[in-house]
Amino acid sequence: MIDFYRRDIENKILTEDDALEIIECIWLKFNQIVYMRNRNSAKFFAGFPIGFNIAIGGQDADDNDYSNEISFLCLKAQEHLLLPQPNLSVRLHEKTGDKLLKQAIRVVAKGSGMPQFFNDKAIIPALEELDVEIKDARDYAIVGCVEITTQGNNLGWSDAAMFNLNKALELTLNGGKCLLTGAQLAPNYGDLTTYETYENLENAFRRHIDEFMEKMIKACEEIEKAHIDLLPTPFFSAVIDDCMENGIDVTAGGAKYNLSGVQMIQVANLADSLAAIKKLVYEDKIVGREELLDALRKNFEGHEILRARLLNKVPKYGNDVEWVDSIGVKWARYFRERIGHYKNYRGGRYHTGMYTVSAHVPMGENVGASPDGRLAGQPLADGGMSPVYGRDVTGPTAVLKSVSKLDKELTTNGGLLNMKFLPEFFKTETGIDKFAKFLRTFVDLEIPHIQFNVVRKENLLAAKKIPKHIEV
Amino acid sequence: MENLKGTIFDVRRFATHDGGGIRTTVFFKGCQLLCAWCHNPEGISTKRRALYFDKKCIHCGSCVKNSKCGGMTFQDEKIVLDHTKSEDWDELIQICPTGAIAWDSREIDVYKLFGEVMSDAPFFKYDGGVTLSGGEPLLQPDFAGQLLKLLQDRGIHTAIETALLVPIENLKKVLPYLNHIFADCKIFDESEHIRATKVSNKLIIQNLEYLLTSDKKRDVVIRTPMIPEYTATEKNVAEIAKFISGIFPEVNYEILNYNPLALAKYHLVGREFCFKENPKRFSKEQMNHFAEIAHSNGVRNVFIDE
Ligand code: SF4
Repeated sequence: MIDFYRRDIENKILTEDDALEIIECIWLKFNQIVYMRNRNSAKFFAGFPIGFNIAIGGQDADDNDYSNEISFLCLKAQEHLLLPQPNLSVRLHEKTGDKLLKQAIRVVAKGSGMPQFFNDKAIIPALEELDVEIKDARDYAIVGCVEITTQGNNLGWSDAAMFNLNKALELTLNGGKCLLTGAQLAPNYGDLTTYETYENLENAFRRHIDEFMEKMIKACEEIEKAHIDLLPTPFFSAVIDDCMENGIDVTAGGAKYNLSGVQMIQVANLADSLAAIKKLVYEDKIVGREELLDALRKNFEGHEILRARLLNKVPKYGNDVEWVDSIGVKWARYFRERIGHYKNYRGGRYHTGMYTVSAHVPMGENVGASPDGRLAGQPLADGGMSPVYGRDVTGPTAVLKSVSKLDKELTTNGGLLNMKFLPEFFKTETGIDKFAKFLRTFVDLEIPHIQFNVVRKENLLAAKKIPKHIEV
Repeated sequence: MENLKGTIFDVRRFATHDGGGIRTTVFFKGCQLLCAWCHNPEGISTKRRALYFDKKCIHCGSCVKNSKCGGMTFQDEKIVLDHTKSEDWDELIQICPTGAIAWDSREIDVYKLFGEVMSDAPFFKYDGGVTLSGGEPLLQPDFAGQLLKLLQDRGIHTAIETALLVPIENLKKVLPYLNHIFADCKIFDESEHIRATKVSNKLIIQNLEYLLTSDKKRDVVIRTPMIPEYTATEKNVAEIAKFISGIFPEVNYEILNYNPLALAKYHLVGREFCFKENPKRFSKEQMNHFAEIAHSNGVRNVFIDE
């Protein structure tokens, strides 16, 4: 696009302001299209926008920064309109210039949640691990919110499934029975009272994961088969590399890359729950196994002191505490390794992501009280890689350190890290400068993604009262 | 190297106010000044004591039940902690399910602390580093010096915030391992200084002279916090400016605006705050005026905090 832009500017057909206006017009258009989801789907993917994703910056074949005049115009359009679409993404890497980085931060400071940042240093090598050719990996794009894809040659099936690891843990602790309904959802491999050691518990947990994964894969296959039979997409196939050459529809595996992405939900609660069990039950033996299981079954009613202990006396994921974070990492790795043995119906690979959009709310509704002190039906952690809200008490650098322990290969289908900052932080040039340094370290730590809410609590509460009259 | 122990009351990561880049600040316990407006009152006493945090408490009564010497009691439906009672505080802290009872500080050995502050090393790479603050870090000179040396050996930028009310030997022990020094000079007039902080400023003045004639003088920033009625007078700023610029005309001098946040912590340590009504911050004009006074009294490099 930049060649057209420069030629028109040179020939005086276009001014910078004209170009900005054109960009803002298409930005508005993105917001006009509303995708009606059914009730259930709307819960999982709340917010109306479809998820047009435009990425700026990023590195070229010589590792130099790709940004140009249009990148800055895109940022300016976002700064003017502050609308929820498009999902404007900045691809960062070691050679991102200060000018682009700081301009992006100034737009973040306006509070629209955009742009979000992606990390080439994490994503490109992780895609290579997934057998994506380097030229395609370098040219990666983002779909919807945070899903990573190669361009024009891929059926990524990035929302193949979401796997609720916390539900699997619940069934492990309660003999395969749902804490909410009492239904026997899985075989009884024992319950918390019968696991003599933490390792016993882990073994049972592993079996539950394996079995539900098997079921999930079967369901995914049926859906893919149904797409081939009922919903082939010849038009789409015509623009995806290799489909025409192979004479095979994209749904049937005609594309160059045939991936399926499964989300692991949610590592933060899982790490917090297992850390609490490991420390208080098996190591310090302060909490009895019967006592904890009883408390979970009763949603902590009459067990308020125990719940306080679970919440306050064990370190939580997101505070750069090695042994806690590594529990989350361990199970994410296990899941990733295991699913790597399966092939999808198109003959491609399964891989993993860590994002929920808004699915942490309905997925939390399906999980009973958990050993991290969470009450039954309450939301799980937001984002995908983020700590449970309010539990990251060691500050933003500790959050990045914790999240960076999740290998980049775990989120080839997209990872999502939400953080919140107060607008005051961005008021001074010193603040912007420090934030830029924070993001430079984010690149070094090879975290795939980060995005920021820059809002004041008071404004959100006021907006709830009088939705129309508030400037957030 | 000897494994020294020291007493600190906090390690704060992502400290963005005390020096360049992203820093970790270590707060040392113990201070010999008793500034009427102190911002970190928990740092004054050198003694460790138990604290009670009302906001975290769920009033479960476990502490009261287990209190053997009346250190934790119910009074008018409220939990009250009396730190003068010789309780087994470690046990009560362990029993409390919410963390509402906690030590105000901890003793830590220097290698462990070094490991802790190095957690943010990836962030220090971009002009960041470690700042020692307090309390008064120079009251634990061997411990502070060893920590700083370990950091410098790893190429980490080091800074200190000090009130300089210490024997000059303490300063000499630590200075070689510092890249940057923020030194307070609150009040120049000795009797005024005694009125506000209960101690003479002789040592401070002596140490300031030493600092501003040392080979690190360009890395020093002298700071005066503007406290209404105490330090924020034209006379005081003029006297300080004359004194420091007389030793080193290119001295860096920073005037810090009043920070009304301090009040919140006072009830924790059972001290009285010096103002009945917490004063407001100074306006930009007022701050510029103070800077102008410093300038006209010989200081070439005057800064005002943002
Ligand atoms: S044990 Fe802790 S939570 Fe319970 S009443 Fe005492 S201070 Fe409060």
